[in-house]
Amino acid sequence: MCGKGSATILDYHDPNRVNYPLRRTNPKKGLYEDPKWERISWDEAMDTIAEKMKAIREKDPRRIVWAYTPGPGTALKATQSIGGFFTVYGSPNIALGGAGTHCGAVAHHLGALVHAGWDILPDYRYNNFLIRCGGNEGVGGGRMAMTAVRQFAEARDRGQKTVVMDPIGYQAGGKAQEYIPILPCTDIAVLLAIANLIANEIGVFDEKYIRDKTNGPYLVGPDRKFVRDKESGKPLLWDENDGRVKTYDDPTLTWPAIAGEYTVNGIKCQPAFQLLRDHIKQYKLDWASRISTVPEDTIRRLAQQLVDEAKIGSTIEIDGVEVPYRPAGLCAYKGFQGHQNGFHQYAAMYLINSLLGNQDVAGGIVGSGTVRCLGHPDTGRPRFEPYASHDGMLTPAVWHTRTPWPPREPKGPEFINLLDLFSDSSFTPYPYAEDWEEIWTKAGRPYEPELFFFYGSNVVTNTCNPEIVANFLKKVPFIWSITTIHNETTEGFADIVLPETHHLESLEIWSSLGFFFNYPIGMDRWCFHLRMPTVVPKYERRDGMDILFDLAERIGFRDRLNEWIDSYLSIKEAKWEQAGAKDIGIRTETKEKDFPIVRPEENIPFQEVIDRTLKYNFGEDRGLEWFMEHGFITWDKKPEECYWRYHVAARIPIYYETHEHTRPKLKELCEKVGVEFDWDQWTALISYFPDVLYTEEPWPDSEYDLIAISHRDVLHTHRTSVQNPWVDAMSKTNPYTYNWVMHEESASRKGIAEGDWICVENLVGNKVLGRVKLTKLIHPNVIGGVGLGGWAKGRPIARGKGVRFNTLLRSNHKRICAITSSFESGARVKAYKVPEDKIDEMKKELHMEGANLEEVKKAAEEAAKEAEK
Amino acid sequence: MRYGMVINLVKCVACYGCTVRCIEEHFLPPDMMWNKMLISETGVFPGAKKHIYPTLCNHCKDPVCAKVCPSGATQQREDGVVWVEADKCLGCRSCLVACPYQVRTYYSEEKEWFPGQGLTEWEKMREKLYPLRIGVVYKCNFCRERIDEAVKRGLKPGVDREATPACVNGCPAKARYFGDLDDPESEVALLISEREAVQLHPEHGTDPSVYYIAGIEEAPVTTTYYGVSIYDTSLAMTSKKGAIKAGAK
Repeated sequence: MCGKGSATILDYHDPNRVNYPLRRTNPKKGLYEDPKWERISWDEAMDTIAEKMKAIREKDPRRIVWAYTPGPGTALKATQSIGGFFTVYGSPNIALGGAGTHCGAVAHHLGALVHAGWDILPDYRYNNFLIRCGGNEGVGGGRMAMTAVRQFAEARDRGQKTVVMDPIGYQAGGKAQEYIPILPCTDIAVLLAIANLIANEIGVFDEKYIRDKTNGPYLVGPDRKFVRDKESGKPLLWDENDGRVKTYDDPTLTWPAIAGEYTVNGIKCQPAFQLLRDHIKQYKLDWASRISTVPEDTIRRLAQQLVDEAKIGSTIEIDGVEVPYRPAGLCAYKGFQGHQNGFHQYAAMYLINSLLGNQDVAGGIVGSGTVRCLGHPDTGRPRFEPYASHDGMLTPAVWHTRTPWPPREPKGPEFINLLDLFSDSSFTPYPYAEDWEEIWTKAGRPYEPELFFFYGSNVVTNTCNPEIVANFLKKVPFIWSITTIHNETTEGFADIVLPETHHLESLEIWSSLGFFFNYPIGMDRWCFHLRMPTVVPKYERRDGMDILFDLAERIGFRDRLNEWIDSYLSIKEAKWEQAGAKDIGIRTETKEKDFPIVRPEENIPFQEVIDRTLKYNFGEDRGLEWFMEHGFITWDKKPEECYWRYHVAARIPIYYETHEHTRPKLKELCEKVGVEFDWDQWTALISYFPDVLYTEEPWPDSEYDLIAISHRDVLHTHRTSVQNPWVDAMSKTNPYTYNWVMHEESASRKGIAEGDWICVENLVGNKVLGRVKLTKLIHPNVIGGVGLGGWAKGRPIARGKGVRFNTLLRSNHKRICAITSSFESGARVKAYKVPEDKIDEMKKELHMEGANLEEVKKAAEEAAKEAEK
Repeated sequence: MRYGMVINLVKCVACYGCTVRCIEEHFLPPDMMWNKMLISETGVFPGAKKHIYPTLCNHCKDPVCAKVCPSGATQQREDGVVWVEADKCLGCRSCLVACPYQVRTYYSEEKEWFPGQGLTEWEKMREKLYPLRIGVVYKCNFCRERIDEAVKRGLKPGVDREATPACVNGCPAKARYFGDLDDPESEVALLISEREAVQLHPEHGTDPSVYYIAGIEEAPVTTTYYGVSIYDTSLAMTSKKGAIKAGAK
């Protein structure tokens, strides 16, 4: 375990934890307000919440907006439990929680379409050459974080090579053989130039993969749409074998063309790959170099290295199964995709991987989590695998937000989060956006938000500029939360707070069958664990799942919640759509009606549900009792489970044809509500687009000559960790954690010295104060910070620590990816030294003071008195 | 018999797992870390390099700390473990000054991990399980309680988890190895010879028992840096004028 993981024992012991249900007595809400908590009984708290939620449900359940954090601060894997609860309740209005507004909107969308996986990871065991952009996976960040650390460490130790191309070089770059500094969100130019080199100049790519596993051979007409079979509407391909057009699923199809020009039904058409290959010819080396600041010869060398190391055409035998061997590729994540040009940037990376044919084969890039599992040998469960649906394209078996495929039409907007309008998005920054009010008004205000719920998250500080979040929260009449500890959001806005058990106090299964964070990477054995309590919950803390069951009974939808839980945990249908929330998608009919885990009418505690889930998956003799003794169960993974690409008959997009269909309708709807995107982004062809960071203000001839970005530090996750005294102690010894980090050359030009207090200011004058650490391992035009900082009185250790990065982020439709709504997570800024005598004044102005020891002591005495009662 | 440790810097990612596991194992108070992480940078942009060194007591074969100790509190066992007998320590701190690796801490006052909020139950357990005494110098003891207890039961340090220091067990990158340096067949001895592991600052002449496998070699500087002032930004940076539009042929 990493330090942060081990340190969670102190979160359990934190004297600041919420121990009783609390009610706000200060009617005033807002940032920095004192809630003046008053202890109330569980019954009173639950009655109040249930009464409100019942009344709202009868009127229109969409009036509830909900948020959660799937992070370490929460005992439950909230993505399933909270997502299931509220979608069954009937509200599609998820707002982002602790993971931030730029949480994987692009990565998850394209992850689903291309890998049927939530994210991607290198197949470390067999990989020899990796280019990593914008992410710290394998060195402490991302999915299965510590499994990745172990696997990546083993890979490095045997000589695997990693090149990190990133604005920041002191995290992942610090463990790479080569670090290439790049301007934020200009990776797209480098990647398109590499794709061009591979496809058009070097000319070595995996033709078989393009032909058999992508939509590269689908014929495209002059309208940029697929040429379709008149009767079935299915896309057509040209079979070179017999010179005829066929649908993609024609059993006689053997050799679909990926080059040339054809005439079908009188329409001149070309395979999508031919079109794309020609299209990217414009992306030249010198152009890419000027945009990104990465030298031409470096780009050329990387392209050649990828081709050389990918060993295209080779296979490897693993456990008696022959699978394609492509030990090279590109992998990126959060920082890379959290941009206004995020979709095309991410798609450009996938295009290179597709050219190398390295997706879900040995040594390449594999989808993370629950992609394909054929089950434990004794039971054949849990079993799930991706399949082909609309147009023969890959569709995930298990998903955790709205499923990105099959595609849907934009509608509305009638969702507060605009998810119905932004039909290709899994997350939007709405309603925490400065233009939400205007959009909602232009949409005719279909209804008003009446209740906001947040679980474990700290939406005020963790999403964008706190004022913007506050403006929305102030409009909501009733706000409640389940949490282990207070934060800026509970203190400023919550009416009722319910105390939850820490993970050391709770039994739960969501993180085991919770699908996406814990499954072993690559050919590591399958492992199914159970999170178990080590101590009995103290005070009046309750398990989150028991709270939800209690509430569902009081409101009157426990039967539907049971149905959803049964379906999800048995994986009959493990998607949000199954919950049947109004308009969230198509409600899939449950395939089996026998309810193997819990029947709708049963009123059993969640512990019983866990026992039955274990028995259902692993046999009658392996229930809760067995797991309590053994802890986990493992079994061998088959190569065809891990490297499933050629075992699943489905294709993936390299040509995004649905964009051509979606654009006119979306444009029409957006115009009505005053949303204007760069509509050119809605093209089927992966293309270059400059990011808003470079277009909203002249670059680089401006006093705002820096781009501020935040990064994942190994010590911190979603700010929950700042309150941990051990993590705090470690953070103080790590110069990159609590400080602004900037290049020493840029600093010297501005008269800034190591350790100075500096102010970083965005285009609209939002300021973030912090000490500066100078480094050589960052792009000279970039300033970095870990998004931390806070003012909550209930978090005395965290108070005033670190750089409050998100204050710089303004959210509005101009700053989201037109396709996936991924939020621009960088900011154009200027930085200047703050004179010594102005620091205290500025700290006060920005609410940055640390905890007052006398106040803390007084509060501790009061808490002790309360506990005695 | 001489216990030692090998830390593979190629594998270490500076996650602080060792630091926290050690605090946890020994119920350490604030301002005392027996495992520390040293972070530094060398080189010139963009060939610069970040260095991480997880450090702990080196349990030197020739421990200068033991030599300078006037009361005999700092002692070396036959298995090489250097430890402090709290009852004998005068708190003179000669060892603190003498140790070339600065891995010792003088315990001057009791502090709370949550300042002003009292000791947590966890901190109160220190008194029962791992009592520390004000006025004494403390440092890493290679988890000698683990070693001794497990050896009694016939377990092998470095091989059996229960007989292995907490920081080794807890390392997620599996970058730490523990065992008998004098046994040529032990994992640590083999790693030292095969991977040419090195001691920190051998010039101090204390012959540390902690070895490091050097980090990834610095790559040749292959990237040139376009200075801030000479960007040609006509394409990416200004409006869409000149930017290549999607789909343009």
